[in-house]
Amino acid sequence: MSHENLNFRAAECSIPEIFDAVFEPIGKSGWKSNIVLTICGLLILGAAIAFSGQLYYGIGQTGLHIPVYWGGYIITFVFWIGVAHAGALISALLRLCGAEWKSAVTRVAEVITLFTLPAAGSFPLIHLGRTELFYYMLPLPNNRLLWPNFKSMLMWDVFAVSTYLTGSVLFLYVTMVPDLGIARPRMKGWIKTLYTILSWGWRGTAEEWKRVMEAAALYSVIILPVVISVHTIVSWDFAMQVVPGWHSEVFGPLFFVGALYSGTAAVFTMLGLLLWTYPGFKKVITQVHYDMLGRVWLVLGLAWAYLFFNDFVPAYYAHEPDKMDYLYYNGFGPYAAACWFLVIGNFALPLFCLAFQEFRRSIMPMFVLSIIVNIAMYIERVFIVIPGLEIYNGLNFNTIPYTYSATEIAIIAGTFGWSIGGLTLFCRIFPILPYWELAETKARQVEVDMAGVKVAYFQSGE
Amino acid sequence: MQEFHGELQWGMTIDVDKCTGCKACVVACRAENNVAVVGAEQAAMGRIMDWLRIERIHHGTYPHVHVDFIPMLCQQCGAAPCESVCPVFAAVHTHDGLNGQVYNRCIGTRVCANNCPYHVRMFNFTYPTWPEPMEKLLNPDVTVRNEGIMEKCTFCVQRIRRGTLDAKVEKREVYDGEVRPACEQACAAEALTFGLLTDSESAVSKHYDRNKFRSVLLHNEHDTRPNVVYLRPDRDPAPLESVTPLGNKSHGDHGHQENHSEMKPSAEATPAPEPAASATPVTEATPAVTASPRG
Repeated sequence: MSHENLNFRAAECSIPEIFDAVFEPIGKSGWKSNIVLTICGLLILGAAIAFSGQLYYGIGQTGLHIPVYWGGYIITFVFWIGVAHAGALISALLRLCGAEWKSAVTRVAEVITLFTLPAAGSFPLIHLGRTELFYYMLPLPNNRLLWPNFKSMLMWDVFAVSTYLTGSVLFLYVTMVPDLGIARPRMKGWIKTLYTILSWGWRGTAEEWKRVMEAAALYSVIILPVVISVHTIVSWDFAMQVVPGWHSEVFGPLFFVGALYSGTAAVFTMLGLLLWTYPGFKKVITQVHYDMLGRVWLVLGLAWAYLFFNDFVPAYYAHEPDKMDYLYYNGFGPYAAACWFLVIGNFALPLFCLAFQEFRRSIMPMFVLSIIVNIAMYIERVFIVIPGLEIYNGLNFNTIPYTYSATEIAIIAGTFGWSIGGLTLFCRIFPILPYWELAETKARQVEVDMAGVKVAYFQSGE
Repeated sequence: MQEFHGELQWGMTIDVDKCTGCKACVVACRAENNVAVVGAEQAAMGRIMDWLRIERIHHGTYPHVHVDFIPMLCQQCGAAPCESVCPVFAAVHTHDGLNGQVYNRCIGTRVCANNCPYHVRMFNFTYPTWPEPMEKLLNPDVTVRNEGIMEKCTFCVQRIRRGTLDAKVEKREVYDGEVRPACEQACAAEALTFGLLTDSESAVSKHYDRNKFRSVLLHNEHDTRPNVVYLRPDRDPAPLESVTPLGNKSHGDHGHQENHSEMKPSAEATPAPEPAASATPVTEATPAVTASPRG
């Protein structure tokens, strides 16, 4: 990491060196990833045991009770959906914008989507009272001619999340085919076989490159509306109900921007871990990339804060009775400490820190900040779901606060194990950085020495 | 004027003035409908199930305190918020205007319970159990609901079906009083009146017509078009203003609403939208707000 100038957006080594750096971790195991995989495996095992217990004894194993019908599972569902939005933003949006620096982070983002979206999608099923009958929500033919209720926002959720999962897997795969094809001759053993199968006989002809480019551009255009609709529909799960604090017009954009915000934080967490585990990547992921993505993060943070405060400042000024109860309960009720941590960790601290270039360019502080932001974003989802239900309480004898039970904690921890373990395993088998995009960016970057000052510009890709 | 979708529309009037809060209806409902007894441990976790509950609404300041008892049951809404959100059609509208709950179809998303302004939907968090002799007293006409599904007041649909089928066999209409839900049957004060709103000669229709001036639809701000009509106490005008059973804040009575961080019963947690939207008394001058029997 040496370049200060933002114009140097490509990797800081030659193209063959990029290849070596990108494919260096493939097929190798190290103690760091072994430890991570072991912990993740144990978490998944714990979640499996907890979920078996829940299936056997019933949903009463959770901490849910009668006014608070939705709890930790739905909160974590919204959280993972948010993290999963990293993929779409960074790949599709930056690809469409023609940002050259994107190539360092696109695949990291897409792979985060690949693993966190199934984690998210599992929660609506785990949360069901009768999980074994989840297929009632699918439009399967049956002899009673029963359809699912297409008027229900939970149905829209089913279709939105499954469409997004399909789209993001295809998006990731299509852009990975050239890498697999290029790397295939230099791989050994079962990884070579795997790459041979998955690369569909990629030879690297001009026609094939043209098709990959077109497909990537097409997917970018198609997936953006899907992304926006997915998280808007997730917000409608709440916003379309009568519960005060849920029934908010700003929830659609707030959820969407919040998802991108936490998704970008997840990318920084992942990048920090990658650079720690594979120091060779430091030649490829440069300070400039950190700086540029940090700016995007800052903008998203500002947008999130704008929408977040828009959610309750108008209600506060109008003294809307429902919303006032909700606000007082949030800010000064039993969860006041968490609420103020949310405001500081999600708004004050990141926006202050990210304003400084030195901060944006340093790996460790960005890693810590990304963890803080994602904890605060999780708390934000807690505040979206729980206080509204606790306040909207017709049972005047029933004022028991909601707490996570051991079963819920184990299952939620298991999805963290699944996501982190999956990402670790992916890094061992597949290139986590897009070699061909990095090489292309490097090839297009022209460096000129102008009387001792080095500058760079990009040749058109056409 | 409310529109009825089917030929029949079952409905109920609840005279709050007559209700003594004795909870005989609650007990009758549990006995009739096999409502599970969750036990002390689950009850402490807040999982008590009651298809019908008595809400107590206090007003006035000491020593002039008054309590109204509001029997709260499924309002069998004409435009039910629970039905539209169920992804699998477990909450459906029946041909005779009930909010049906298909236990076999329910997968337990619990979204209907979140969306119910009356909080009358109860969820089976555990397998249903009864203390020792009570499991021998279960009503054979009513399904015992399994763990993981939603249930709620059905207006004693098993009695409605029996009554209508008997009438069909004997090739006649259901006569008034032939179908009586358990709560109405048990009410010593005769605060509850059940019958066909579509029959202008039925007791419920007549009772409603006579007492239209004090009828109230709860949470009318959500336009749920409930088929349970509450008749507010007919005392002198001042208490009448402050009664506002459920769903309306009493304007002059802010004594116990100072602490906003406290959780409140829905009687106080919901706002009082000014124009004709909320639980406004239905007078002769504004007959359009509430249900009206049709001959």
